[in-house]
Amino acid sequence: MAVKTAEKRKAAETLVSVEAVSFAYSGHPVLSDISFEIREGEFLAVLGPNGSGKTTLLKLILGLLRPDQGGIRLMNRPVDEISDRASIGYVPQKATHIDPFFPASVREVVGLGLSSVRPWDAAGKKKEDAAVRGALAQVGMEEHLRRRIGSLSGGQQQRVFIARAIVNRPRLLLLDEPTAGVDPETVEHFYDMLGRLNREEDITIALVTHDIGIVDRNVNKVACLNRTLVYHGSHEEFCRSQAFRDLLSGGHHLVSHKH
Amino acid sequence: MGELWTLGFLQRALAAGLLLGIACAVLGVFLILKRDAMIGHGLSHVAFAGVALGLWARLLPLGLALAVSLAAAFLLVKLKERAGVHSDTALGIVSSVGMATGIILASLAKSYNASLFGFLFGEILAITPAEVALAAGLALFVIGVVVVRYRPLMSMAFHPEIAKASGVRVERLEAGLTALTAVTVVLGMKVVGVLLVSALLVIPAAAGLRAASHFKGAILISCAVAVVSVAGGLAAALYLDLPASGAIVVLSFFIFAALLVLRRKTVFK
Repeated sequence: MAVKTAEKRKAAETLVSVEAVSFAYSGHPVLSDISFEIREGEFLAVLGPNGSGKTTLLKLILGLLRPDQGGIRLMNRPVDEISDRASIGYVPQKATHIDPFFPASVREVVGLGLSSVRPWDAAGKKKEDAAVRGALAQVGMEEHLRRRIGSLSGGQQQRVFIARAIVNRPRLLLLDEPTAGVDPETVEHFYDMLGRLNREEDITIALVTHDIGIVDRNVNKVACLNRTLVYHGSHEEFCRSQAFRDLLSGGHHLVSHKH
Repeated sequence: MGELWTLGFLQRALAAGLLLGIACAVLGVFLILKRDAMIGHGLSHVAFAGVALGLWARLLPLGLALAVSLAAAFLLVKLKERAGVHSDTALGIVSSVGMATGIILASLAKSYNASLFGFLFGEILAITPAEVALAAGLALFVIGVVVVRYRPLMSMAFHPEIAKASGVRVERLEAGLTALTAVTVVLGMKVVGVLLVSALLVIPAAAGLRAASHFKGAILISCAVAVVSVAGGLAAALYLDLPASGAIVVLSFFIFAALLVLRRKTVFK
């Protein structure tokens, strides 16, 4: 069984390829010479202390920032050349810090993730309804379809943002600190939900987080950053690594590891 | 009294007012959500400079107002994108320079006269058939853009970063929205004047945004508030002998206040 899984992994397509990427904000280096890949089926946790460049890396992968050096390929194409983003879902940092009075129902917010459906014709509307309900069911929020997004709790809003990100059935889901400000019990359910999306829906996940506890919860790969890539590999090996110990002790003295 | 509404100039006033009111209401929803509510106010001050330039140069005042407003809209976008100047600061600079230039040009042209006052306070009862056609074209264009680009526009207003990551060209949409606002402001000047045109962009949309619980509802309520304000304001002007522009804006405020109270009673209690 283990051999079969390993073979499946080996054959898995590379969805993200980060190639010798460096980036600086106004001359201040944030990331230096980062290279790694995210393969189909992986659940990758991107860890690192504050200011280690985790969010910047995610924005570079999404094409929201351009690297100063190196390049990024998504689904085997340069990130700049990808116009159809339906296969990529994204939940940004502080996604739930929205205007609480924004007049949008849960249904409308999730529907925003749909790029190709035409809601003004009857068939398109039916298809859109089915997709929205399906995505909300995946995150356990179907009964809140008609509620205003601002009336939900932070944890519920986060689930709606996940539903928005997966409504197109993406191959890749990128999340930036999705559990910030969410109570511990909700965090537990949240990680379970992500694990299920990864295993049962075949969604490859890359999750930026401060929460080192994530390595015990469903992830199978870890990338640890501290402006450079200090670790990239399986989560089992990460738990035995110096990078892990450094991160536990405060994360300010992370050392380079053999990659 | 009802036969008054059969008069051509009143019909034109009503048609132009309703069409511009609807265009403003739709645009206003997106401007407020983007925290750009005062852009109409700023661009109307710039349009005033264009009008004064036209009166001074004895060229089409509305045409020049349109050109100057579009240039200012472009400048606003570039100040924000390239120079890193905050939106409200950029607007403060552009609008005050526009008003100052207008005052200087009006003084040079010795044109503090009826035509300038017409642009300052609106001349809804002197709307020409050509201006009604322009207002109809604008309203249709604005509604068409919103229908075709509904999802990207809502996405941009809701969360620009998620919109960008989803492939929405947020900068291009924002520039288009600003340019459309400039055109609307110039045409709206004739209806309610430089000083009050931004009210049509802000008040009905603010009412819609506070009263609705979903996005389409916000747009529809904004349009309804604009329609009632223009028709009611015009009627008040006619029957109570009030200035039309002032009556339209004050009525829209009363509707906004009423919706605010109703919303508080039904939702927050």
